[in-house]
Amino acid sequence: MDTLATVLYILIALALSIYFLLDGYTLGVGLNMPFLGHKQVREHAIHSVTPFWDANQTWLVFAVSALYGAFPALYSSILPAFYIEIVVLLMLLFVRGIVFEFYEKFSRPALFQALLFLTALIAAYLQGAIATQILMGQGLSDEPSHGDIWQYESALGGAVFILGYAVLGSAWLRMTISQTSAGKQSAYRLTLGIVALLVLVLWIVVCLIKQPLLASRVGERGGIIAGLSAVGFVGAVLARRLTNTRTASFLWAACSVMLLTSIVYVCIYPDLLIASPAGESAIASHASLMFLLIGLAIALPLILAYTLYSYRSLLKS
Amino acid sequence: MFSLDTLDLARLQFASTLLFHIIFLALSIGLSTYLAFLRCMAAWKGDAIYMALYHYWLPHFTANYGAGVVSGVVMAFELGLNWQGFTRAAGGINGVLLSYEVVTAFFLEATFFGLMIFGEGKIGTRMHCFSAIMVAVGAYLSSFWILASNSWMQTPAGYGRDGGTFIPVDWFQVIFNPSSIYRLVHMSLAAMIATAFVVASIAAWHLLKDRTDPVSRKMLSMALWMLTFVVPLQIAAGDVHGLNTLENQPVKVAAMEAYWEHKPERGGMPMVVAAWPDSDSESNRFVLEIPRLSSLYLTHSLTEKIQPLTDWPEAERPNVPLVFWSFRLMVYIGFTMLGIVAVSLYLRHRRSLFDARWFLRAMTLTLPVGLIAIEAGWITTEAGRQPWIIYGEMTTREAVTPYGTWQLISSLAVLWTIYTLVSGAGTYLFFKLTRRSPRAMLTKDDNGTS
Repeated sequence: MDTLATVLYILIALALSIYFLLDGYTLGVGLNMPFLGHKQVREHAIHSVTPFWDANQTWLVFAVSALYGAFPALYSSILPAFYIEIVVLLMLLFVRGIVFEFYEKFSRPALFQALLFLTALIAAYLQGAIATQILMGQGLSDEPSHGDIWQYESALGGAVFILGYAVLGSAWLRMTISQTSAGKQSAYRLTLGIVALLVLVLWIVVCLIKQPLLASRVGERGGIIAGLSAVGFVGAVLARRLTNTRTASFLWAACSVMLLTSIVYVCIYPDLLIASPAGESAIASHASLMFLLIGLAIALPLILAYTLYSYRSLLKS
Repeated sequence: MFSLDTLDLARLQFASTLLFHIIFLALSIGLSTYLAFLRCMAAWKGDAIYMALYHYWLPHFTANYGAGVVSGVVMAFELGLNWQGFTRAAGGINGVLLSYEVVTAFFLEATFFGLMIFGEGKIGTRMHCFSAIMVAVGAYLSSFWILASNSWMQTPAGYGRDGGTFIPVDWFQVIFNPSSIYRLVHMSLAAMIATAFVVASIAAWHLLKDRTDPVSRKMLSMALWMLTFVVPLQIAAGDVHGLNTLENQPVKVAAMEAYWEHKPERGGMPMVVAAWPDSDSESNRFVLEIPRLSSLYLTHSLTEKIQPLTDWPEAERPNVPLVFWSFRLMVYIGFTMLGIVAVSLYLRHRRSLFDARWFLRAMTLTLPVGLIAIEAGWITTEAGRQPWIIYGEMTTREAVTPYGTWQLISSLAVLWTIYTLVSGAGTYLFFKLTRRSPRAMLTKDDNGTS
């Protein structure tokens, strides 16, 4: 992979991580619905994500469309490999979006909250299972619909995403809604965190055993991984120092997402996907990559600027 | 009667997503423009009526916008799901344009949408107006990129081929390919017209119940002024777009006109008002036609003729009855709109726009006309370019992902179930929101400048 393709690889990877983080907390709020106790807290919880769900979801659309532009062969074999799964995932995200925009206008809170929970649960499972399959090197043949999301490592990946998103959602709620920081809620958060961590470790072990190439990459790149972990750790310490406890817990969850996904990307590179060397034919032409990069170089800083502005002005209580 | 193969099912799936999505998209373009205008006018004039109109249409917009966004996401994925051959070969062009759409329009719309809806009272008036404008700008930018992409598939330019892959050579020509500006203008105007008819129809309905309501009066009057200017403009733009199609995709125009073969004994081409185009006998049955009219609007002369359908082998012709009738429907609706505008001008002149109950009653029925015309127009242009996915370069059959029939049928079942449920809930919500009295939005202290 030449420099240009590498830069785009990094940008797409970064966009995907941002998606996991941002839509992670949005879906996570849905996952936390049944455990929020008071009716009013559930209302607050929904209101805390309504202004942001759309832009958060857009990071997925961005990652996928940039993949389409920069690595068309990959895009056109991954999507058909998980045909029905992706159609169902899209419909779940569809219903989720509709629920957010229709919530205030229908007075059926119980139904809509249940929909938020169910769509988030299944969507998180599908994302985790598909991601695991791709990580194991599936999804790269031309034969459509050969991905299997019910293998046990996929199921474990699904569980990791469900629990991970639930942790993110719970940390987001702790940061934005004061009623959720005390009593029962904090015991719930602790249990959730521990279970999530255990399942995560189990999943990592299973993945390393099932895909030896991944294990050997981890061995080879121990130094980079240690470096990334150090950066993550410094980030976590700074987050604690510079903000209050409520914000810090969300920032810690965010650091973990960025760290974990970065380690995965480091292990996959220079393949586009594990066990799939990035041949010439997998990458779009120089003219395509260059034009794409120019657009991103102009647009991404603007997007970051107004996204920060919107969080700042809308989270003011 | 039917035997649907993988290609038909994949097209059916993509077409149903497009036809569903385009309704919300058109209303999003139109309503975002309308709301940005109202918001700025309210701030500038300090007029409570503008703010009342803004608050009346805002919830319609948010509900509609949500549905538009999520159905658009489905489309971005369906390209890769259903048209593997196409995305693999043309990703270096089409995928890049789609990415431009996402980074210039989707994020902009989504973020400022949040600020527009939830920032009222939290951010200043200027910033709030700016947010409303950015949402509208995002809608047009989005159309610009997606129509550039669609137009490139219809009239490809600025590319080279390396084996099976399409390589961009000149991005300016790719983006501003021969049909992109025509399509952008035609679609933007269509969105404004469709929205103006929805707004005018709701205003008329409220005026039938309370003819003194100042908010409904303003609503009807503004929408009709909009239509007065834009409908004639659209007819002119449509004519120019048609000539552009004739130049680049002549067989599409031949299908739109159901013009099978030259008849040397006749001077010029007739306009077929109504007929059943029969592909087997390559002729029209039950014909009602006006002599020479088609020559007039297609060649701007009374004698010249276009290339007939039989100049192309059967495999390179689109479905003629479908293209013919969808085009007729769009054009007939267009001229009906022109008639409505003329009547409204006459009533305005007589100063009885708000009193002519027959006119108000008729206006309430016009709610879907613009949307129907848009659906018909998209069927014309998309069915009319068949069998090509990239015109003259790659057929839809070469592009389609080889799924099994049952896979496509089950995904169609999932999509249609969700679309039906959302349409049902959306329609219910639309009328629920519409039942609110516009006058009730009028609160003295909210003139949009605070």
